[in-house]
Amino acid sequence: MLKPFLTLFIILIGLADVFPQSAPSVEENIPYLVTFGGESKSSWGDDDFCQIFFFKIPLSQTNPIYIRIYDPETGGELDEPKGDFNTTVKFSVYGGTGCWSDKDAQATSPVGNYKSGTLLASKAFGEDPKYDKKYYTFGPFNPFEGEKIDKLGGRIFKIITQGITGDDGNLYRYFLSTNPDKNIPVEGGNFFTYKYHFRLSNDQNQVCQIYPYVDDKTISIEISNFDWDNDGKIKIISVAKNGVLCDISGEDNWIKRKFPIVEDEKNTSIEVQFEKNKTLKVLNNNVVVMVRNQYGLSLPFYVLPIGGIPIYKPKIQMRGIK
Amino acid sequence: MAKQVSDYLRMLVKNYAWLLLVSILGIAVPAKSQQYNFHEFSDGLAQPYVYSIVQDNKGYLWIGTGNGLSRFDGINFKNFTTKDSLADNFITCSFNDGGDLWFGHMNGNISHFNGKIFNRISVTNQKSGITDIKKSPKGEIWASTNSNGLINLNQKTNHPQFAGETNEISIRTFQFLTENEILTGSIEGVDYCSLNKSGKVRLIRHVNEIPGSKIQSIIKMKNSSGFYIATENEGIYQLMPDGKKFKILKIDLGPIHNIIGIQSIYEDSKSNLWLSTFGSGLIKLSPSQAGKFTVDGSFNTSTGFAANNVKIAYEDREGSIWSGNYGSGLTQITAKSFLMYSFDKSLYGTEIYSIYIHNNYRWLGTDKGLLKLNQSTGEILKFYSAKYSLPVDKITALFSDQDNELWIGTEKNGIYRMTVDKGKITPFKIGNGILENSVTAITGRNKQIWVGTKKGVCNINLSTGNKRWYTMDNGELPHNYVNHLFIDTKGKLWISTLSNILVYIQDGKAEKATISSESGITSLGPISIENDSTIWVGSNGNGVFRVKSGAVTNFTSKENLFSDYCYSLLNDNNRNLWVGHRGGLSRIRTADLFVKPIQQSAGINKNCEFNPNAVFKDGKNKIWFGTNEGLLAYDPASESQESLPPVLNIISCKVNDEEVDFNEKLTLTPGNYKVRIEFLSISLKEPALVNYIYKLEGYDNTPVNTKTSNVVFPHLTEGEFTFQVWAISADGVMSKSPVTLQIKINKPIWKQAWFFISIILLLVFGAVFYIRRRDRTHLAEKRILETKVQERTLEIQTKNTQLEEKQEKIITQNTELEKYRNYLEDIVDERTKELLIAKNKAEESDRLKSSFLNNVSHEIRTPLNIISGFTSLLEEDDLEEDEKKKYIRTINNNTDSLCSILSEILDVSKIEAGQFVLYNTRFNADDVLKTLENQYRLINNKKIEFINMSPNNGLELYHDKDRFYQIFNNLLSNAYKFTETGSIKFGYTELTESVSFFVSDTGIGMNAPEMDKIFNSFYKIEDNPDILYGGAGIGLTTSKRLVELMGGSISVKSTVNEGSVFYFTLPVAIENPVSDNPDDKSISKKGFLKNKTILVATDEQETYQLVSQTLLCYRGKITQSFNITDSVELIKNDPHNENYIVILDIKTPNNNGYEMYTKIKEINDKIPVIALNAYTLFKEEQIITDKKFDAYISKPFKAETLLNELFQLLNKN
Repeated sequence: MLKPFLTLFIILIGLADVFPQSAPSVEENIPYLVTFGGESKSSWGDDDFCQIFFFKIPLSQTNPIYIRIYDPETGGELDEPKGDFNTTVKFSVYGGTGCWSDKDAQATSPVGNYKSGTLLASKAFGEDPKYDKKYYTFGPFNPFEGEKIDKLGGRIFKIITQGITGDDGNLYRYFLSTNPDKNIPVEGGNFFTYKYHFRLSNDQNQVCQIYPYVDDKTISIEISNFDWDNDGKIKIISVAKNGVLCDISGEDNWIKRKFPIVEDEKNTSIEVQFEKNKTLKVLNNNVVVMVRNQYGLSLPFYVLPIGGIPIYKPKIQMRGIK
Repeated sequence: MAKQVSDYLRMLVKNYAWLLLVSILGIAVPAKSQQYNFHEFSDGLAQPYVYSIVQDNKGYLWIGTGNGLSRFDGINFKNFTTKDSLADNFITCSFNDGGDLWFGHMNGNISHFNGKIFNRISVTNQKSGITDIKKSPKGEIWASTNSNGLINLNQKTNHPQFAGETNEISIRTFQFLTENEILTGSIEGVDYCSLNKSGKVRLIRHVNEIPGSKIQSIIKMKNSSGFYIATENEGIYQLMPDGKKFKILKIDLGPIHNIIGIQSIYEDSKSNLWLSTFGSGLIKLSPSQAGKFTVDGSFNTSTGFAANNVKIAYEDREGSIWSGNYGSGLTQITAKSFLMYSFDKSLYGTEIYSIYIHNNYRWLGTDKGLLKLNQSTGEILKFYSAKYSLPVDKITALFSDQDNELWIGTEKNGIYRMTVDKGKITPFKIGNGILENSVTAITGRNKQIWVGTKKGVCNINLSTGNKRWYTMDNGELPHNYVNHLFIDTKGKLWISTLSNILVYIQDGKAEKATISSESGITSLGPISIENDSTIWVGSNGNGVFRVKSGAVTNFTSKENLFSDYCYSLLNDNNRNLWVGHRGGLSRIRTADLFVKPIQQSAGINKNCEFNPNAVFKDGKNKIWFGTNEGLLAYDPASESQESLPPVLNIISCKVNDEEVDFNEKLTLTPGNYKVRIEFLSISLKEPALVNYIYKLEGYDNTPVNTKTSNVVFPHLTEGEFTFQVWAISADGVMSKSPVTLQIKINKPIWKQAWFFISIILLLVFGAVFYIRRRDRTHLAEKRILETKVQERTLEIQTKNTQLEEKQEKIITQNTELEKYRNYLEDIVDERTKELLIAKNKAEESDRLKSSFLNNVSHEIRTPLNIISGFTSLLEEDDLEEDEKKKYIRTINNNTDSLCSILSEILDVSKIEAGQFVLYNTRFNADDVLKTLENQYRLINNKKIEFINMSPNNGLELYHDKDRFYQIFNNLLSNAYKFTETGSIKFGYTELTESVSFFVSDTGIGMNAPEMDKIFNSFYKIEDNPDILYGGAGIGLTTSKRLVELMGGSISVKSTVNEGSVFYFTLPVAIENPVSDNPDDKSISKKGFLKNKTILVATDEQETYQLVSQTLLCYRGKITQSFNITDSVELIKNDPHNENYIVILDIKTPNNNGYEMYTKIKEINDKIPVIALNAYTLFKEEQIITDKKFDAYISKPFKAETLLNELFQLLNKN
């Protein structure tokens, strides 16, 4: 008797997640974000044990919004244990003045006043089966509690995930919703970060991609990746670049590569594509990627690429420079 | 997925078990309608996200939102933003320090409101949001920040300092333990800190007894020194300071002990705790035992509340709880003194027509049957309907007698009885008719049951089983339709019917009492009687009547009664009378008769109808009303017993439509002002029911009761006024003291006493000064005037003298002028007379001229005719010589006559011109008279005798003889002419030096006027038109002139028809030795023209012949020339032209005599030229004289005249 009801319920729950507003997004094909405990080794794929994401709420949004975190706890099935689970990771949501506009907030390292703004909500998670593969919801949040940034066309909230103690890797995903219990996208909402910590798929056939946005002030970009472990190729695709290969990092190191930006690439998103090695299977590969412009300022990665996914236009031929 | 669902359900059960429990219980008890007032964004709230609520001392509620600050006065919201100097639009917290308001903002700044304006307090380098504001025991204001510790807000400056040692301290809330010790709450729990003298915060210790959870609020307990601490997800705690230690107790929340998402905690005035949560809405916890609380209310969407997310709760001064919702605005929760119980309509029916509570059973009569509830729990115990022998009918009346039998009245089916213990229902027949079985009310006492029907009242005696009807038929009721029955404490049964007459029955007798009303009562309804026998009775359209001691007082909607139609009435134990209407209630406070309408404030729907007589008061003084929407319960215990007077403020004062500062005494300059005062009494509980009383002392001391919150005084003039206003709350509580506004309008300067005094003094001084000045001036002027007067007197005297002199002169002149005038008048008269005379003369002359012309014409024509006639006769051949001679003689006589006339005329003319020359000679006058005598005797052919009466003594005269002859002849001629018979006497009388001649006749005579005119020229006496008297009328004139010329005078005496006597006198003239005797001249004339050439220049041959014949004998050469040229040539060519004498005919044809004269004189001016002219007019003679002709002769002339002229001319030369 309950079976049809449960089936319908499951279907409804599933539908809610068909088009979620999440980070990482469906387009990126990245399984999870990753943050290791503060006592971890950087060679495990997290250089600073801190993941900072911003989410933009359009000015038209007046109803409450929610930040939902899938699998926030640290000792679950999805997480990466290093021995016994002993890790505590803290999620903190910020809004208010300086939340984004503080220069430390847009930096790629968690130093200085990177926790700028007003702490709206915070919760630390350790091993807690209650949230294993479950959601924890921050909110409701009054959209006005975000920092209003006209340049970005909305109000900005910030969520900082920081490994406090332990050495395990916490894998999780963010969702932006207008409902505390379901993932109902905020119309016009988006996530962005300046430094992407994520887990690559273990499936060698999966290609992941992230989308830094190049503004009109940019004339060159420098793509850095950390702890790629030589797990395949990193390609750059844009309206002017058709799979330009990027240097790849090895174990526990950073590698950078600069690329010129042509006029057509300005105010567009660039796709940084991660293609796994199909011959050598590397599991649980965690990568950190960031992109800077010629001034050393970080470019944001939008989970929903601004202007859409870039498509190469063949007439433009560019060559990478070292 | 299935696992997820089961986990979810498990979580629900775990976390919200208490909710489920309440929901399950709700099935068994009537659903409660809670009393909320929602205020949304659409109502004017700045934003639906409410972060803070605070009430100021004026009663305004200030609501901080994420997008502005809203001020609420109970009716309207007014929003403030950064445009109003607010430091930020995002308000995170607020605080009332006892007078001023403080608002913390998300941007780290703070706004300070001093009652008038906002002051921005910008905290240097502060970008962390303000989380809380508190006041220290010393009175300093402190603010906590999200990440920068504490800020000491120095109220004297807008640049506060951080008190924290580090700027990384996150404090979400804090409280002062002492001046130097504080409790701080952060995301990691509670810290016990010190606040040293320098103002820095130092951690003393972490309060480990409280979990390291996010601390949302720390509040002081109202009735002790402890604190309530709310964590976000770990429940609430009591912290009791115990020296340096704390006694910490986690509050047992019972079924909600696992509640999460707590946002704040608030303790109201009754020590209830209000938990604001995200997810569970607002939860009210009532203290039960020490340290324990029970859930007394849950306000979330499942219980009809606006929101599940509540940020903050706040109790206003009137006891209302305000819920600041997160995303759902603001909700006012009032005390639930009214609760509406509704029932499943399909099962029980919703309309409650009758109520009776007895023995812990609550009986409700509905439209479907009878409900039995547990009075304590409200649980429905049983529902009696047709299944239990009840008819399908409305249960309109219920009553339980002393035997615990329930009497059930139905609308159409009469009475039923139920044995409560057994639950058995049996019908009780009281009548057969429909109206008799239509029950409206049941009551009873002891063994007496009274049933009101539409057919009258039926009394049932339970002891005997007898029934007795009281109806109109036996005159005991005014109307059979019974509306209500009420038994008072004295056992009287009061009956209201469809009339204005109350009936009471006592001892089986019915008495009537009429309730009179000005508007006329059609129907009396419910009755309620107090213990003091005061009767209250409702009516259908006339409100409520109170009958006390025989006096009737009427309460209607004018007295604030909700409606004039009353359906139920009941006195409670608190001296209130409750009246049920359609749509609402009225509560009349019997102590002071204050009437309060109740509807919205009690959560009563406007469609709610209070059914007739469906009201009951239970043993706990709880009142139950049966309505069409269910059962409404009023619990006086739930209502605040202490009603506060509303806060009243004057909010605006406009003078002549301009806003003025009214915080101090208003002083206005003199004038006429329109003053508008706006005041507001803020009652957040029932704002619409606030009334005001105001008066303006000094203007009108009569208090005015109004609902309007402003008053305009259109014309205020000078004076001192005190505006006083009181507010009266919905509960009738009036302000203890009025709010006043002093207005002083200064008197115009001219109306002020000092001005009057000054003016009077000034006038007095001015008057004195003026008088003195005037006296001085007068004195000086007097002196000047005296001097001037003296001068003027002298002048006047002089002038007078002069004037007198002048006057005398004038008088003299006037006299002279008078004389002159008289003289002139005389002259004028004289001249007038002269002019009259002249005029007469002129007229006479004119007449005489005409007469003369007639006369002359006759006198000339007559001889000319004779001469012409006889001349023609002479030409006949057969005439004899005698006849010829006779004819010639006749011709000569007439020629002489003609010449004589002409001569007379010429003489007159000459005399008039003064050119007449007398040629005096010595002659014998007698001879002349004789000659004349002879002549007239010869011609006398009348019977007249000529008598010469001259003395004949040889009178010698030396005068012109011819003229003497002419004079006498004229006189004789006249005498002869006018005398037909009688005599004509003439003669003279010699006098001494003259001779007086006379001629008298016996003719026609003359009257006196004629005698005056007789000597005028051309005057003729023609008294008889039949007689024509000859003559030209110039004879006497000529005679008179000649006599006068000769030195004599002439006069006449005459009597008409008797005759006239003419006298003239001539002087005896002395002979001149050089005689001009013509005879002497004639001697010398001989040959006097010898050697002279007489040139006669004329074209008239006759004239030339006359001249030549005349001069022929004087030996002169006579030559004729016919024109000027010839004459001039002749003279010019003659070398001896000096011998020429030219006789020049002035009117020579072809020549002008004057021109010729000039030319001759040019040749030789010594040549005499004699003018010969036929025109003897004076003008012509004057010209000749002016030309200086040597002589002048007028035609016709005699030879003698020519000779004399020539002779005299030659002798002269």
